[in-house]
Amino acid sequence: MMAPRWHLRTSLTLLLAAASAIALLIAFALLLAYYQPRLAAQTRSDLGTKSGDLARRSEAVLSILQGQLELVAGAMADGSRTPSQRQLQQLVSQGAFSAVYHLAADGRIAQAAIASNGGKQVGELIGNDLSNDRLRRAVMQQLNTVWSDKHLSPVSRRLTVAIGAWTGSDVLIGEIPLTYILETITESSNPSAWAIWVTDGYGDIIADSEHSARVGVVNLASQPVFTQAQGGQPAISTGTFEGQPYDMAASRSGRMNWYFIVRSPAGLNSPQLQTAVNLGVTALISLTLLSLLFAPLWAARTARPINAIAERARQLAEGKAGGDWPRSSVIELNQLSSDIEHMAESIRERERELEIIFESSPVGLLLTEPSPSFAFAKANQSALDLFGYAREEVLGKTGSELGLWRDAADREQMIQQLQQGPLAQREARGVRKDGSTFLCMIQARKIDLGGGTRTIWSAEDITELRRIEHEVRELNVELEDRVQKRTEELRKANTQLSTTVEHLQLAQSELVRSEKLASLGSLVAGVAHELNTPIGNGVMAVSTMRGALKSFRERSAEGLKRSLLDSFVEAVETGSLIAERNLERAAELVTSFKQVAADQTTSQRREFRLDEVVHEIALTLGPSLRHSVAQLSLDIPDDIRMESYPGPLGQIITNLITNATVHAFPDRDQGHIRLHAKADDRQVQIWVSDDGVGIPASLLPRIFDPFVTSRMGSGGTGLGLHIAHNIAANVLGGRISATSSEGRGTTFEIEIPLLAPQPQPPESGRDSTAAGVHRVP
Amino acid sequence: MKPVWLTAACLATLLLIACGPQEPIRIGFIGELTGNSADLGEAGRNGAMLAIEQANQSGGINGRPIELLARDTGSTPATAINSAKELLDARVVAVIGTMTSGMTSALLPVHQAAQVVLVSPTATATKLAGVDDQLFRINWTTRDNAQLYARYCLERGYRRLAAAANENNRVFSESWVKELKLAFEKGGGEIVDTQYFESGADSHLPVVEKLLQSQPDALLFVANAGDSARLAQQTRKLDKKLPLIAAEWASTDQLLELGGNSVDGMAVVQQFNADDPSPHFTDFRQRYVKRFGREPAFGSVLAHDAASVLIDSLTRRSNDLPLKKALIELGPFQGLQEKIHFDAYGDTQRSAAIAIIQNGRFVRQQP
Repeated sequence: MMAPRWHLRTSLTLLLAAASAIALLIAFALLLAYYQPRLAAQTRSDLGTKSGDLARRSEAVLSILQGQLELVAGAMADGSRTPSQRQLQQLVSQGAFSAVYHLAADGRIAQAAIASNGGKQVGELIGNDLSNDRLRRAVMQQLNTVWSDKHLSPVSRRLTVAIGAWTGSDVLIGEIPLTYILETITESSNPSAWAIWVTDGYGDIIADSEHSARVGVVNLASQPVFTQAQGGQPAISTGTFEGQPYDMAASRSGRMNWYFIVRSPAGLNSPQLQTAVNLGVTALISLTLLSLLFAPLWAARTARPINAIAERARQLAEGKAGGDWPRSSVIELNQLSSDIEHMAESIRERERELEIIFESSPVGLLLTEPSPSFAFAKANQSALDLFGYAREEVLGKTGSELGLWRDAADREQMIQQLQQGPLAQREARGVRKDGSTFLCMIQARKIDLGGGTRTIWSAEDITELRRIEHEVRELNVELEDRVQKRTEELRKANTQLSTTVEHLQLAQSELVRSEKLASLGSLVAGVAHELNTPIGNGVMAVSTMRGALKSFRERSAEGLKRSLLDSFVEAVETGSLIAERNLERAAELVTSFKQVAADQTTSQRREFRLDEVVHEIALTLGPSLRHSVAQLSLDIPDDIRMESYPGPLGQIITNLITNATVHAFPDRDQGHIRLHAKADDRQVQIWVSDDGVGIPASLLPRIFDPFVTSRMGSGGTGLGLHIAHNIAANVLGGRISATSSEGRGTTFEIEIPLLAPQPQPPESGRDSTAAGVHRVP
Repeated sequence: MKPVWLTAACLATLLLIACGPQEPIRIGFIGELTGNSADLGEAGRNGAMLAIEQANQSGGINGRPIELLARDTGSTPATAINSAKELLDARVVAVIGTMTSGMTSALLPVHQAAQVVLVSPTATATKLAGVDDQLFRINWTTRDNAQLYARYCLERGYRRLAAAANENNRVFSESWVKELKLAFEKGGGEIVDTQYFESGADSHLPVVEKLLQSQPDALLFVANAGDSARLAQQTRKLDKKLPLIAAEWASTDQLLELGGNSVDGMAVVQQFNADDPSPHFTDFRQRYVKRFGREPAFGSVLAHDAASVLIDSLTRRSNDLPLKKALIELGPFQGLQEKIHFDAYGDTQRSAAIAIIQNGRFVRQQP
């Protein structure tokens, strides 16, 4: 929804008017809210006072009449039984009574006087029987003066009120016209013009200051104020009469048993409210008019500086210099003015920035006007330098006019491309001012600028670039050829190498097998050597025994002597003992060797005690050790139980010990090889250490590599440690390491789990020597 | 947001209006409250007022209070029409009144034009009966009354009657005399003289004298209570014995008060049973006396019935049923002493009996 567009002046004026109006309304409402109840209360209290006054005054006035009647009645009581007609007439003519009549003891009218047209009526009245008349009956009952309620006059047949006075024996009745009652209540000044009712004891209106038509017609007994006043006190209440709310006050006159009700419109109709509202409305209107009068002046004053700023801004927009930015007495407007000034400054700055950027771009940039002109609007320095023109020579002309394009077709192409899309690109030959040509990369983009579709052109000299590119490409081709040749050569070499590697691998397997056989061989040699001794001993013992036997037989042929027998027995005993022992020893050895052999040849997995296995190995090595300068000591706890491959383990230990005997003590005549083991609940560490020459530091890292030996060509295969390493890692599931210090000694540490891992299925790519050796379960 | 505010404001206003004090239902009363028949008018107004005040105490008509607007017919048809128009302008739903046939027939055109129901408690003129109009009558017709009177006279052996008839309510009195004549002559009686008189006459003596000249068996007064009392007073000054009969129009307290001993022995038709011992009526009587200081007259009873009938119809009818139809269709209604059942013309039956004034009281005679 479009808001209506107003002048600042108008809206300020309206604002002022509205603000003052609202302020006034609020003040007025508050005032009213504050005072209204007070005024209302005041009114009600005034009503109450008034009704009381009325009651009293009416009583006073009517009591005079009552007095007059009673005077006559009293006179009758005293002496003169029958009042004279004149007396009655006097009462009537004094103005108040409309009729006075005397009822004799039997109730008949004895005398009567009537205010209007006496004669004829009176005539008829005399003798009428009013024995049933209410008022008469009341007087006869109370024997005192009684005021009637609304009374239908037997005389005038009109509604009146009547006083009945007791004469001592009969009744004197005086009728008072209701208009008289009305006069008494309307006589007094009634500034607020309150409406007054006078009702009889039953609520029938006998006087109404507003509408006399209500007299005898309307009954007010249902009004709350009436029932309240019946109690005797002046009553104040609100009530509704004929649809309108009123504040009412009622006072009861005890004398006549009449009610005097004064009322004032309540609620919205109350006079105070009306006056207040009128005042308020008047004030509102006058204030609004006043503000409408003065507000435009003020508004114009306020609007002036704003207009000045707007004017200055307009000048700026049009590009005129303008001058100072206007200042006024309003802080915010000044702020606005200076802010706009700063804004203009910064815009100018940015403009300059962009100008500089455009100008100093190393790439030539040109801006052309929209098709079809394509005249140059801007050109930066690089563009000018590129083509060799001055700025004035270029601006306003087109590329074709200046002859920048060597081939017009290129230009056509570019323009066509631009028509199809926003971007265009082409390599074209450009012509400089001096006529020289060069290869130019031209790019163009259409842009919406300054209200039209212009084109930005960039131009770069790419001649050099292209040339280099060309060279590189040629080199590339050459390179590819070379690479191809090399690749071919390499392939050949590769094939050769593969074959060599195969041969080597075969050789390696052979070597490993032969190593194994060799170790087996040395084992057998050792065994044989070892067995030799006990068996030899045994043979000797037995032959000794045969000798003894032979001797005994010879000797005993001459006669058996105890000493001969004893010496024979002894010789047999000794001999058999020696033989037994030696045979036992031989058997022991065989068993051990069998075990070792079994272990060695078959990689059988079993449970064993480490110290037993080590001992058995040491045994087999006995002979070779004896030939060396080294002494072997074993320090193996006897509680190390393993489930592993004792064969391979033995092989390692054998290997290490053999190595030590062979390598460790080349220039010594004694040495020490110590075997030490320590186990926890998971793995065991076995140290094989010697105090020999040690391994050179340069060799140490490679010691477990195949074909590493310090005795190559002099009997060592260089595979021992490698095999040991493989066994330790692959079969036993542990590792082997070596530490050494030259001249001091070497220690090999084998660390293997007590529970060897299950054998792995054969893997390719693994060290084929180890795998090959130990694949046999 | 704006429409939301607007609807909210509208709803609030509507709610306020709905919850505010209920608009009262206005019922008008128009009667002869001043003037010669003031007693009748006042009696009627009081009867209606009592019924309405009691209805308001028990919640009014479907929760809405009833407001009674009373107006005086005045002494001429013109003033009566003015008052009637005042009531109609005040948007009354129905009007109870008037108490005389004359004024009723004067107002009827106004009510016909405005299509507002007029329920007359006491109008009896024959020409008002049997017409499909806005007028509903609680009383029976003059014809019915006349038959009662005729029978009474014939039973008493009166064969010659002289009647004094009120000029001011000629519609009624003329019809009354005519009806009586019909019924009376059928039984062999004769109305030997009829004199019309003005209520405002200084003296009724000449009328009485003239009537007495025809030497009737009994005098008949077709007049209101005041005039009947005056006529009686004058008659008794001249003839202490002649039987007096008054039309039912005069049967109010006023007759007793204004007549005194002169109306002793007078025969009047009573449209209600003043001696009804039933608790319902006794309660009504006591409330009436307490409220207004005098005994209820027939006008009070009939106007009370008129008001009850209206209140009952207004309460029970559905919103789209016009009041006139409701009054005809929702009957019979229970009055103070009788059932009221309107026929299609808005007339109903009533029972009445002759009463003789004795010692300042109406003594109902057994039929």
